[in-house]
Amino acid sequence: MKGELRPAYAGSEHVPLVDMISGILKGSAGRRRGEVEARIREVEAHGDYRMVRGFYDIMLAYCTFEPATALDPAPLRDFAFARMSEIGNYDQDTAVAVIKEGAKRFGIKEEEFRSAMWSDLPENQVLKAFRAPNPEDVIKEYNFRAVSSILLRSAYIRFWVSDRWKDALWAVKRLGLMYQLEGSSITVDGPASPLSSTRAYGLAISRLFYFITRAEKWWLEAGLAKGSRVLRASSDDPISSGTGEVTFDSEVERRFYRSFASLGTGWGIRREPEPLRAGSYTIIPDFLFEKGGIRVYMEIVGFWTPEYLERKFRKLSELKVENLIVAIDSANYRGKIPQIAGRMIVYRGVPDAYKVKALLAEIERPLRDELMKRAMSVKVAGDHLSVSEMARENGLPEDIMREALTKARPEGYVFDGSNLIGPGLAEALRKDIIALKTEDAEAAIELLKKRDIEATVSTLVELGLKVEWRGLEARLIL
Amino acid sequence: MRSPRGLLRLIMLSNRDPEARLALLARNEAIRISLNAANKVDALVSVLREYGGKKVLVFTQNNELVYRVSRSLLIPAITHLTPKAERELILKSFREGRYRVIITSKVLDEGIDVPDASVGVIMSGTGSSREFVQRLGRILRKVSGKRAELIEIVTSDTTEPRASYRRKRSIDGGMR
Repeated sequence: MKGELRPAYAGSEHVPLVDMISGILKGSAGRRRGEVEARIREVEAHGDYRMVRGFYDIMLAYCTFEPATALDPAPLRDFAFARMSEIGNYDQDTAVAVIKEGAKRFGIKEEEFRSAMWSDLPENQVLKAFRAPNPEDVIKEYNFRAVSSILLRSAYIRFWVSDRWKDALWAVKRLGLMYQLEGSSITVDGPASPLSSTRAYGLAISRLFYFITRAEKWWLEAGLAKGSRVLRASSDDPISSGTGEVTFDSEVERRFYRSFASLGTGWGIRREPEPLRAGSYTIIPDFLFEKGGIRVYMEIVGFWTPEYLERKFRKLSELKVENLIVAIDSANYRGKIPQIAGRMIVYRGVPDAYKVKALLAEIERPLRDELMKRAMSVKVAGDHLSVSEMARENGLPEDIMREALTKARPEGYVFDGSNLIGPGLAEALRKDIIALKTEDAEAAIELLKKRDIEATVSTLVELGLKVEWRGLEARLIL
Repeated sequence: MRSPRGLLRLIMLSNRDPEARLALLARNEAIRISLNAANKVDALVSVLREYGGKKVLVFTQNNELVYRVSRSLLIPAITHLTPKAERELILKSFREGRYRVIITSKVLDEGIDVPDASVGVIMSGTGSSREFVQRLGRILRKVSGKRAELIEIVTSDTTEPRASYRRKRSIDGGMR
């Protein structure tokens, strides 16, 4: 059986410790940060130093540190350094004399000069204000961080959320994490799996944890990289739930969308389509490209390893999920980019819209040939057929149907790009139009429309009537 | 402190808690390092006296030591906390000779901003890696040719001298 790992959670028994640190901060108004931290270190020596440090780090967010003086330290420093260099004796006595001289020059006291000179260093900034937080919140935040730090060392994380699952899902996506969706839980590869940019990946993992804890109910299970110990945490533990706003960096998606949309490819592009389900396995694509009934998905993968890609492509082919382009970021991988079967593009920064366009054309070609073959074999019967109806009835894209009819027009039929008109009907219509005895092409088109033919000037031409353009007006020549 | 009884309880707890003991030991170590640093500042004073008039670049990866030296000897400091504008001003002043000595915890990027120092001083201590020293040697060599001198300040009551000996062997012969 696997060993279970329980983080050293802080609990209500640590409220006095939180209060003590809070008390030190309250009583430290006007003190330098260095002094404040020395006092905190005193407590560290008497308690669990990790908790003391942790509580203090959390409470730093409730502190405001500022330089003690409004005097700009830079000119004071420059004076002292240059004067010291000029005198050339680098010893403490000379330094004291230089400070005395500087104080006189800037019209301040020696002590003031000395402290103002370094007032911008973090340790010298003084505590201006401290809003004491609720100790329970500090403890829960501490536990949140305790779990996060374990997640940073894990080989995988499996989690489940009761609600807001879409948020968690998109967090997984936008953070570029390596994931696998099976059933109702999500498994994410941990940063301790072989990966070069573990720091950035670890950061993404802790941001994911924030989204997990935002759910009403949640649980997670993380396997430690070394050994088989498993961490289990859930919404029943005293862990703070993600509050406030964490924003994603979806700049990559946004920029790709813009560059692709402005390329004019004839493909429609949609962001964040519904997840693709194949059996119990789910893929969350970032984009859907559509053209004449052909659908191609694209997924952007920020973090990856060759093993992850292999696993993913194997899964895709097992499930016969075709038409998926995977774009992988080369920035987070230092080794040689592997040659893996499948439609893959490598990018740095933003995926190249031209490369995607070329891949789409490659995917489209055989599919289009197949559709064309079907369109060519469509049987034509009847006096009047519209291309859109024929396409719909045969489950074909309209442009393919049109192209097929243009290439091989059925024997004797008149074709204007939208309508197929049988020989008998064509002859009858031609006679009716001539009988109108008008030069007005609009009147002739009107007549055809009354007979349910969505006609244009080209219909008239195809019917064998002579049309002449005068300016923007078409005239019939009788 | 809201509850003195709470503190008492914690002190009692710490008797049994090995981590609390570790924290106490860490404090003692910090005090020792600090005494050590005072000696190093004294040693730096004598090195600077010996090389009076020469441009000196002082290095240590210990930020606390950088500011300690900067404060007590009024030597301009460059660390990761130094704003970019000030960093540039310091390097410019050093090139122009307004500042004769600078101390830094950063190895300045090769190629750009390399100050023309003829003497390099390393104040060793925790965190000065071998790579750091080697890189420093390269920079000084590149700027000053053969006459660059590299001095290392070590304290005798620690393991530092041995580490320094190993380092000297790894830097090639042109240096003292």
